[in-house]
Amino acid sequence: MGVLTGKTAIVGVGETTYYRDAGRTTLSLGVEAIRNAVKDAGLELSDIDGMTSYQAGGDSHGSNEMAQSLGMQLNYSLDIMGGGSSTEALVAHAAGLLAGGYCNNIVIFRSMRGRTGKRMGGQTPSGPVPAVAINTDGEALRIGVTTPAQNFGIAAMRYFKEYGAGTKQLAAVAMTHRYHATLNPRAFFYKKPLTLEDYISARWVSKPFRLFDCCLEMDVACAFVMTRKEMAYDLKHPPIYILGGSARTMSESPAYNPGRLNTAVHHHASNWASRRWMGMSGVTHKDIDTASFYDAFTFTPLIQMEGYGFVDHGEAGFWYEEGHGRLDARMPVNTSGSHLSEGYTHGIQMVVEMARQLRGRADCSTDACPDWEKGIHCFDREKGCRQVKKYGTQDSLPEVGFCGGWGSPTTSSSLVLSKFSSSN
Amino acid sequence: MAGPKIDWSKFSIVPDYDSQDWWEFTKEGKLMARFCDDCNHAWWPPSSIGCSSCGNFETTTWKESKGSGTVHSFIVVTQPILGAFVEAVPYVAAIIELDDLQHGNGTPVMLQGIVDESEEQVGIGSRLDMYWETVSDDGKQNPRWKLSSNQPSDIWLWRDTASEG
Repeated sequence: MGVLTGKTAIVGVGETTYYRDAGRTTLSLGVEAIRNAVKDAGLELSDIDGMTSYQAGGDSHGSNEMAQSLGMQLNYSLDIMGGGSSTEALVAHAAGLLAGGYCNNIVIFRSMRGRTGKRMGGQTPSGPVPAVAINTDGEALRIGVTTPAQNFGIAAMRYFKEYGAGTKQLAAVAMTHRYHATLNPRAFFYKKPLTLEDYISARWVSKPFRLFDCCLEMDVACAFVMTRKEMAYDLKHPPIYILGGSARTMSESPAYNPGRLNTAVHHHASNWASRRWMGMSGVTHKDIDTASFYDAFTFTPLIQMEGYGFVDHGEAGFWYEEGHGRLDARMPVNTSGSHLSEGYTHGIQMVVEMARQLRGRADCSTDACPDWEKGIHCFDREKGCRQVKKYGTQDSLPEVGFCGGWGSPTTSSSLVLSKFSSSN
Repeated sequence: MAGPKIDWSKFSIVPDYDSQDWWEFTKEGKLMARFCDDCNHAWWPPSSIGCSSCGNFETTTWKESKGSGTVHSFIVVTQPILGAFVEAVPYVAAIIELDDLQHGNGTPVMLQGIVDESEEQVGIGSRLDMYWETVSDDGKQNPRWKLSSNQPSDIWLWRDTASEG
């Protein structure tokens, strides 16, 4: 185990509504999410003395602006560049800061106008980019391949060829995450299931990906609060402890650029952290009750599950197809619907969701579970209960969760959370 | 031009320090990659920083490819992101393993290129030949790719298995 295993915990979580068009700044969204997370922790805004966030290319307001708007005087603040894989890396970072005494209560947030602000891959709301400067060899520009959907499509096609999976398995991922969103009142696709026919009839984004293979870009902010173990006991909710993980592990070759890769184009950075997360946290695959994998596309959870060693290479799509990732199956995954069906947050919502699930306080519809805030659940999926239970039990709550995050084939992070501060 | 139409007026090519030599070679019709003199690792894309394999920062040699290769993977671009490709879609964008340039460890150097033919004809394993397309008034050229006359029998064509039931 790592020296910081179980020493810090997530004690509060919050977000804004998931908007198609918030009509608000990232400052306004971030302030709301942070207020919600601090309130959820049972803390006062003045208790917060550390803040850290991530953003992609200057697409958000930073920690200092948030803190000033909230009347906080911080002992620590830092904003980093990056999208996916940032959340889990910032948790590792925050654990060290808290343990070292740099601050006592730290907020991690991500605020973005992912729908109405800056879009990934150079797309513009008005259509194709009119003119572009090539100031390098411009290889990707010269073939018109600039978006994540295109780049991951290239990796997916080779993966299909090597392992025999295909769009049929991608559809299983889309339908699994969507099923979970149908139970989540916050999700964009709440009560809106996805059939195979819906999946097939949607337009192509770039083959082999259709519309529902791609995440839902949204205007949204999410935040959570971390503190030291000894300060976490007496707060509003059961603390969810940080056991370990891996923080922005790199692959041996740069992202996307096949010209530099020594390995197959789908070989992802998680392969270089396949044992590190277990060593750090003191748990193994069999201990994981529920998980989430960064689902920018239906394809990306597959290579993360395989890279982190949950299944063998090539098997994850078939694992989904056999239903092992659904609620009440062996390891429910992406239980909020996450990027594909709740809304795209660059990964942070998966940590927020995992904290809620491990507390036993998944926010079900009040029709299904009126007392979910007290941790009372009916576990009736037909009624709308979305609380995960331990596999094979009637009503035991999950104990250990795994979050896989990533930014590209090059960078990958992971995080093991638990309701217990020790893995024993 | 037989293949997908790229509107080069939508690009302005301004090579940087790292890529200017590569672009100059294209004017002579030479498809080049830079190699480390110590370990023979290719510096691709063109780079002046150093060898990413052994750390040699000093000596390199440009080597020319004859311009033939095999499709390693590909996508079908169905919606244009850049204005230059509005008239090109749909088209096959591929990762191509070069026949005659390898890294020091034997892995083929791979480039990205557009293939003239459609997804019904192009798959992983398809054999390709390069040709040049002039893209600027001062004679810079862009490598384009088309199916070779001889093809292997075991090309992997992609199938949309979700719609096959």
